[in-house]
Amino acid sequence: MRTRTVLTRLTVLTVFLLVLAACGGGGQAGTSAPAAPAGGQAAAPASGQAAGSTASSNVDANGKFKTPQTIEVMATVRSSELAPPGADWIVAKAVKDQLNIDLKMTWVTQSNEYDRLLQTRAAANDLPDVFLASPTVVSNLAPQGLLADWTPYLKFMPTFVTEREVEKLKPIGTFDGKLLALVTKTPDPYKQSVMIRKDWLDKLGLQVPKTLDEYLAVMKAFTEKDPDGNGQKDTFGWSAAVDTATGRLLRFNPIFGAFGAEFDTNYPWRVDNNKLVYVPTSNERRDALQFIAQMNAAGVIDADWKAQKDEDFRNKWKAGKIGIWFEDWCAGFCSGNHDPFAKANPTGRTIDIDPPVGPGGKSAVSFWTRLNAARFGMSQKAAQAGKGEAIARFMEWLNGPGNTLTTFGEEGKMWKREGDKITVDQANDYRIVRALSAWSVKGSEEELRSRYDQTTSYPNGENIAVWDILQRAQKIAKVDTTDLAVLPPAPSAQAADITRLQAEGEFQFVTGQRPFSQWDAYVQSLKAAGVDAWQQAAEAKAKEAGLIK
Amino acid sequence: MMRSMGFGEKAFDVGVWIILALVTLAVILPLWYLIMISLTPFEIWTRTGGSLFVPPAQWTFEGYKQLLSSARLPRAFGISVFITTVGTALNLIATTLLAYPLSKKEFKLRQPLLLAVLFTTLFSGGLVPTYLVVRQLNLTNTYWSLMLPNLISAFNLLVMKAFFQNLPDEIEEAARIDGASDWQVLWQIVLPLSKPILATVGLFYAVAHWNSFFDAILYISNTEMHPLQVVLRSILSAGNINEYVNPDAAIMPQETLRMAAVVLTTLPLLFVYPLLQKHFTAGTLLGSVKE
Amino acid sequence: MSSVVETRAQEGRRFSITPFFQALVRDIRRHSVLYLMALPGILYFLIFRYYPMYGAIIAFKDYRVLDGFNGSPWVGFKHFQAIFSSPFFYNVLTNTLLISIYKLIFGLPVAVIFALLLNEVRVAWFKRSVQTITYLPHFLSWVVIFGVLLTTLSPSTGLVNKAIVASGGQPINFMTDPKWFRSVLVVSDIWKDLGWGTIIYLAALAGISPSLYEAAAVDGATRFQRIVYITLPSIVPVIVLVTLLRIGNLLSAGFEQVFVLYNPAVYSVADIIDTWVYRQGIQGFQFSVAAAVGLFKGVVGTVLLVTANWAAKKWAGTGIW
Repeated sequence: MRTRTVLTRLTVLTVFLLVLAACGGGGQAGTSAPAAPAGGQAAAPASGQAAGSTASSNVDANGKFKTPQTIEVMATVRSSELAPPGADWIVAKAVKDQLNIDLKMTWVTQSNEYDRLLQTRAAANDLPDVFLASPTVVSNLAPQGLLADWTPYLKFMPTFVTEREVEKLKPIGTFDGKLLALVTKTPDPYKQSVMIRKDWLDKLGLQVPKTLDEYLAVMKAFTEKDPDGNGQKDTFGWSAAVDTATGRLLRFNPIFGAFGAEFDTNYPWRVDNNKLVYVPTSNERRDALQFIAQMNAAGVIDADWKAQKDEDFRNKWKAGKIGIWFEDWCAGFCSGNHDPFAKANPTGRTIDIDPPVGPGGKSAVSFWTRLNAARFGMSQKAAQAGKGEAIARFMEWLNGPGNTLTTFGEEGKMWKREGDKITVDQANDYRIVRALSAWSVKGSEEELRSRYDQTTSYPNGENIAVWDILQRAQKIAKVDTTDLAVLPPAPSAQAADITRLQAEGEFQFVTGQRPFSQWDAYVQSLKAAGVDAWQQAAEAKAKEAGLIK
Repeated sequence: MMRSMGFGEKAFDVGVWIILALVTLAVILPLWYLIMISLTPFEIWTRTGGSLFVPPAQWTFEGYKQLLSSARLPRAFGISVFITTVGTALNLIATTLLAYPLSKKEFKLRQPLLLAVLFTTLFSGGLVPTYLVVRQLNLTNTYWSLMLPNLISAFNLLVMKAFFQNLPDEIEEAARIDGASDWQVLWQIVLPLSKPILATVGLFYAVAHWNSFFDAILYISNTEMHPLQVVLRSILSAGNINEYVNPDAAIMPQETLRMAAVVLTTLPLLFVYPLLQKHFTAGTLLGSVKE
Repeated sequence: MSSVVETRAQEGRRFSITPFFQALVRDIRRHSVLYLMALPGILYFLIFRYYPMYGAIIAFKDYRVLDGFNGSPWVGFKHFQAIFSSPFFYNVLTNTLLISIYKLIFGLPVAVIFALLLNEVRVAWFKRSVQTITYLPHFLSWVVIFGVLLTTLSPSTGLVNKAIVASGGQPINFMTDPKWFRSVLVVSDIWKDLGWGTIIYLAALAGISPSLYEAAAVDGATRFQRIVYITLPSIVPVIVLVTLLRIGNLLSAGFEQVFVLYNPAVYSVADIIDTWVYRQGIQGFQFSVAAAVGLFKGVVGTVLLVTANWAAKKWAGTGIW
């Protein structure tokens, strides 16, 4: 009897598994459904693209489509606390009126979830027609065949191509000879600087530091000599944080810069004497880490830095606990952003200074790139459905006739031109209208002045002229990594291991948990974990791009 | 009928009270601290590092004002309430209907179904296949996409099944002898006895709906249909930054605002639980309180 | 109909499955209502839980979106080999298991004891207040709790370290000290879910028949005896259920918590499978690797669950099946 029940159960289980397998089979049949449209469309492009190339006949003399077109645009809103534009959005109306294109907007209000969302839709072969993507996402999607070649459509967007320097930047977005990502020049000015508490310097009778040693001396004074005069030893010379996702050291960039050891996290290379150097394992990096270890041992870095996140770092300097720090100057000085600091530190004065000069005479605030971090992508599905021309003409419109409307809103109502300066009304309703301005901004001086040409007076009598700071920041020493953007990302199977080895290693060296005598072993472990393979791939690409011979 | 309490009994009670009070204190202090931060102006918060005793004269309601003045909030709140109530009702119906047969020994498929359900707690297809199913069923951009994919939680199902199984068989048998069908037994006998478990499982489901976030942004692209958590997070990720002046620096909003949002989302739950509690305190107390 | 049954009976000599189907058909006829009730639930599990499972086959393939789950090329155990050959695999696996086990052996008894203590309180307002307050932390996100931890555990200004220094000790950097970090994880996890975790036991306690207590009181049982012989046994099935399900998911050690709280200083003791997969994921389009990890976790979970269920039946007299 007992064995019979067991048998029954086993048979039941078998039946169940069979049913499961059948279901799985059904599932597989079902999956070919989503795959099928792709296959079906694989035949379609012939007709679709043929339509694309002759599509000019579908457009009248003003560039307006004779038959209505629809494109799905996925974008983040620029001010996410406000609602995205509704159905009566004037930009969508203008696009319909002037181009006969229906914009189907998919707004992502969570910019930090954007990549995950985009990649999930990509994995389901459900990409929006046109979207912005980070370099990482582009290099993930490119080999999948999900991105369309922009080349045939560039002819519909001539001013976009010239003004955004598309021609010059083509190699970066090109994969296997196809322009899969439209790389454009950045619309933003260089935004980083080193900041120091001028009032603390004055109080302690110190000069603005220039060399690394002078920096260290000032940091020590800021830590030990009670610069805020509250009788407590609660101030620090420097502050930093650790990146949540990768564990990388944050906010030490100018120190690395002083040793020539600063790198772009996406492209950690440097071209040196016709060689491609992997900066994280270079001797310069070791020396810089050694200096930071010295800072750490001297206790001049914020005691909480090892566990804190970037936002904690920001709260620290706003609270007036930090003497020198590395920060986006607009986060520190732009009106609105400076207010919390001014309120918490009524007598506090912050100025931007040059980054420290290292022993070898090197100096850099951080790396920077002339490229827009976000690249425009068009889905292959959209191109196959014959939407390429509509997308291209929409991009051209954003750059041309629709530019000020998208960037600033309605002229006269939402912004005014006084002389050669544009004044923008910041009312919330108007800001909603500007939701797509990240796509239309070009970085012209007129635009930049409308954003940054502002002088604000504070209760302590200080006047902060942001435009001056912006101009100083453009001239300051930095590591230009623009050309490196053609190099491949870390091999995906090893990327996570490389990231952890590096983050853990640098952290341990800096905090003294690991002696520098183990540096060579550390370098070897990184090489074995995949850096060697990456270096070979990168060198091949660098030769191809003419970075090295 | 109870004997008078002896010394040992009293000491036992005192001990229990002290332990519970200490645990509660360990929970209250951090919560109180968060409430204080939500009321402390940023400049004072930074100077004091946050404190448990902020004089009311210094309090600011800026964070709350800013959150509550958002035009999107009332609508999103309504949507969340809708999803939570309708979703939880559907969850409870589906879970009960499956849990009841699973609790019956005479139900032939009991064992295989049970194993099949357990299997799903160990293996899943992952995000992308689920997304494809939702899309194939044309559920994207509907509230169904927030309710159907998580209709039954295996854990809740098993909990409910265990509860049904523990109900005394005699009551049901008596009803059956009177000619009641399985439907009648479930609705008229079992469910009224199952209020504690319905309240518990309902709470688990409701909280999951209330907190749902990624599903909403994945399945619903129409931002007017977004629930509270999505809207709150977007407010928080922007803070009170003047976007046009500083469009790129990702500056976190001030602590005051963040904590106000935390308090606003957590506080309503302070009133939800007591409503449910009355459904599961009845049983045990009867025996000892009766004098 | 009878002829159908007969053919089945004949086939039954070859397939032992047939008697089961006969019995099933009989059962469906007899308990049609039960089957009808179960139908929506069965459909749900088939559509939303089983149908998507075919996606797991990409663990053995290089997932190519345009080729779909079916068309992507088979690569055998390539992704599994990649996972197992990672220099961190052993470390990550150990961390996951240790953190999970610590949470289970400390967290579970604490929740049960807390529920039992609450059950002993006769003053309604006190009981309700304690319950309501202690369940609130469940709703705080880990990011918020991280803020509280950073403030209270700060080596320079934190309350805990001030107390340690005041009593003559050296300040401890809890968040970055590998010796202490797992304790931080376990204690903060217990703090967060203590009240929430007791709800399930309180619901079970509500089902105890008052007559049991009355009988025990008549027999002169002490409070402690009543707890041990009546209250505790009556919630054993729930304790077993919760424990078994947690054992089945032992390889999920709480992604959000670890991800928010950890830092490079404690990677060696805190990096878990899910954080490793996450870091792998942000670098690449690694759906196949994620699927392989999912399968690995599922297989290990199955082994653990089956063993634990067998043990539970043997020692506690009750299991899930």
